[in-house]
Amino acid sequence: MNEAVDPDSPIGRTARAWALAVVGEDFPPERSRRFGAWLDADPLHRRAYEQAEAVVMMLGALRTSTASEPARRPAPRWRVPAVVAAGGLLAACLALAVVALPGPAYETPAGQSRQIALADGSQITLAPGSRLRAASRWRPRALSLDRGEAFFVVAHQGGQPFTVQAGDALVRVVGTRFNVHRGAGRAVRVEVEQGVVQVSNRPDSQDGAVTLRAGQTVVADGRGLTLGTLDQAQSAGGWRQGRLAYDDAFLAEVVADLNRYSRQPLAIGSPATGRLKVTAAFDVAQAERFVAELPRVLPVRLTSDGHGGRILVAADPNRAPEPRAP
Amino acid sequence: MFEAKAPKLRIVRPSVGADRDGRDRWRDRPSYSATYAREWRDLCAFLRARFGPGPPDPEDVAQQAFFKLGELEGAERIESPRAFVFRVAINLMLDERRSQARVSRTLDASAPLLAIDSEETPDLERSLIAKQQMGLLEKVVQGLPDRHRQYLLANRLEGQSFVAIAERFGVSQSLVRKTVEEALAVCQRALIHGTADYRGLSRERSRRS
Repeated sequence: MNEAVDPDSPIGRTARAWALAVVGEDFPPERSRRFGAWLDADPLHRRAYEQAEAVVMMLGALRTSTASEPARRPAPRWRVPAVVAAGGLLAACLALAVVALPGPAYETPAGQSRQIALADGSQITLAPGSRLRAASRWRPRALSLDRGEAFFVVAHQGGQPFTVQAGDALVRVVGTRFNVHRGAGRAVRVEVEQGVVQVSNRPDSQDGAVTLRAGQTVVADGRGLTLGTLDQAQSAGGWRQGRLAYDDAFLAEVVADLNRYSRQPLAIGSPATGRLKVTAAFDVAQAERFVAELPRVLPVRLTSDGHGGRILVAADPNRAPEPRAP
Repeated sequence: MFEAKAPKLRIVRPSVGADRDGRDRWRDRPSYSATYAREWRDLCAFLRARFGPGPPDPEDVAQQAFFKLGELEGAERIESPRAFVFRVAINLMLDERRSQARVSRTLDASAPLLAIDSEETPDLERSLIAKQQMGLLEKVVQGLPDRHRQYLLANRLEGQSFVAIAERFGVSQSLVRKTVEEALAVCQRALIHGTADYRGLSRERSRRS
């Protein structure tokens, strides 16, 4: 019952055409009658058809693994080589010797950004202190932002989706310019400069995904998705021009970003200090000035950790804040 | 340096067509009844031609497939509803046949002991083989030239018809059919021989790495 019919024989070819026509073309009842007559004409026809149909059904089951969906958290690796005596419709001995092929990873040191050109024509600017990788060599358009920030100019590729996973957030795009920022905590910020992207905070589905258009932004965190709009000071991926902008952001997030630009690390003394809110726009070149001015606007002061690093600690509540510059 | 910003705009996600438990299911959508009306006859006729009059009854299986479609949550990204019901119905039939064959073989002591076929292979081993085959198939598909991979996946994963794929990519329907047939042939040969072989594809074979 199970010897494979040569898929390149005339019967094999006809069987394949039937197996594909079922979903590929109209299949009205008259056609089913002709199909049934062909199946019944020769046992070989039926066998060839069943074998073609089995492969067609397997292809339909590839859904989670091949459809350019990003990897679940542990990146998939090709299974170890194995030799299995195969029964089934395609009685064959499969000798698989598939090598583990993780995708390429890109990493930038503090203070240094990097341009990445993907084979499909997409351009990525990876911010300092960031790490980005492809889910696998076979899916160069499924990327994962492990930390930091990146700006994407995505090339269209025949409807093939381009995805970026950052923490729990999944960004799905067909062709556009957008920015993904992954901060110190769980929050991931996505900003769109051009085109349309979908963002969901469940990496395994597009359930409840929001659609973002040019000029919009979304913050994905443990609680859900919050849509916002970009104003001019915060144009998508403004960091590429050395501009950092924050709107009611946690100090911890700002400091995490600053540390991606500076080799002189800045620490935060306590979680409470990290939760102070900051609204600011400044040039990366002015980062030092920004840090120096923080004690004027927030109840913090700068101290040294004794090893060349600096710490932002809560200001003494009994002391009056330093006088503002006129 | 620290300027005030406009407050953020918060938008609550709208729920479209949600039923009482807050879930948006296929059976509540207009496209569900449209699919039902259009595909029911085709599906039943196909199941009858492919699997005979039963048991199981082709109409019962088609009914189950449509029930499964209706139970799907609307936001779940699935292939075309037509492709979904065909795929589910074929799987139901195959499962049913396997379990019938197992029963009859147990009853029929004269069945050949050495019959190596899917019905004889224990479930565990079969699932292991299936896993290996899926791994190979995935690798083969990823190695296809772009055009072959795109058309094949649009047809097999999204359930798009050849006409729809032709429109989407701006090519002729016959090119789509030919391309998908060639791609499927590569997959068939790979599963028979246990290794990928990209010969016989029209145009260049450009393997992506």
